[in-house]
Amino acid sequence: MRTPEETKEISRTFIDEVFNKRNLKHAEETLAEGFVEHNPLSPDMGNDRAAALATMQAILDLSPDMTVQVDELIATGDRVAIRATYSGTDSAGGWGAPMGAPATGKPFSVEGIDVAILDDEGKLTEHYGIFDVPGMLVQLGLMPAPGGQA
Amino acid sequence: MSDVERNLGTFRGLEQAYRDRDYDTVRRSLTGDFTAHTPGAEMMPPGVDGAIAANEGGFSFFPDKQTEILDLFGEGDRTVAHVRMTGTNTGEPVAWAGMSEATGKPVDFDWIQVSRHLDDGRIAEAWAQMDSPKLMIQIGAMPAPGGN
Repeated sequence: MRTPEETKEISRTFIDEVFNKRNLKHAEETLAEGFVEHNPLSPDMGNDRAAALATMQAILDLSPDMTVQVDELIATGDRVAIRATYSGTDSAGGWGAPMGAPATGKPFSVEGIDVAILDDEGKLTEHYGIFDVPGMLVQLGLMPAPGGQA
Repeated sequence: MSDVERNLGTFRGLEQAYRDRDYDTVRRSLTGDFTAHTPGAEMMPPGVDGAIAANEGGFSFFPDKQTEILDLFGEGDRTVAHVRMTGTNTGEPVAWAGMSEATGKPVDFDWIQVSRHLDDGRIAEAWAQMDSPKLMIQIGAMPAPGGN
């Protein structure tokens, strides 16, 4: 079994390649057959490997200048949690598209927590993750702030 | 028992205490000045009182609220938990989501929490992300993607 540090290195490389270098090929090479995506961008994408790749592609397309900064990694041999900050500009299709809003051109910076599960070969077999969608919509002016402050 | 095993035990006990509304155990499991780095935490009282208020808020919206730990692991002084909550909005309206009436609708959503434990196992700090868009769609506070 891997050490926690080795698991962290796999996840650090994954974030950097896929989200910062925008190299989706790395994800295609790293996601195991039978991969399960618990949080696709939209439920109609399904939960399989293709849904995971489509989710990552959609996130990259929504924010062409988005960068991901890893804030903390917590790992065991087969699991890693990633606390990260996602920063960029709401451009291209726009994060508000599901609500019928055009791209706002505004900057955003929000946090998320993701967990990946890995097999013995270091391939990713499962992912669940949640990022601060309401925080992003508030920053883009697409949703009022909780408590009524715009 | 390793520190990680003890911390995982503390987290399991804390979730059970939230279910049982056993706030003596909650106060023994969190430090008094517990800090929640959670979207919305700024609307809650500081410290352990905010954690208790959040749990009571959950029961006020969803009187039949149930939680289930889907995944739990740890390293060093950190634990990571994936928790699922189910319930029915038969209590108060979910005011923070802009609702003025209870909808009677069922919800089924999840959150992920990273906790920092002290040497005695108590949790001093936590970072959490909740799938609140899913909850808001389920109670009709937000349109579903694709307009469904």
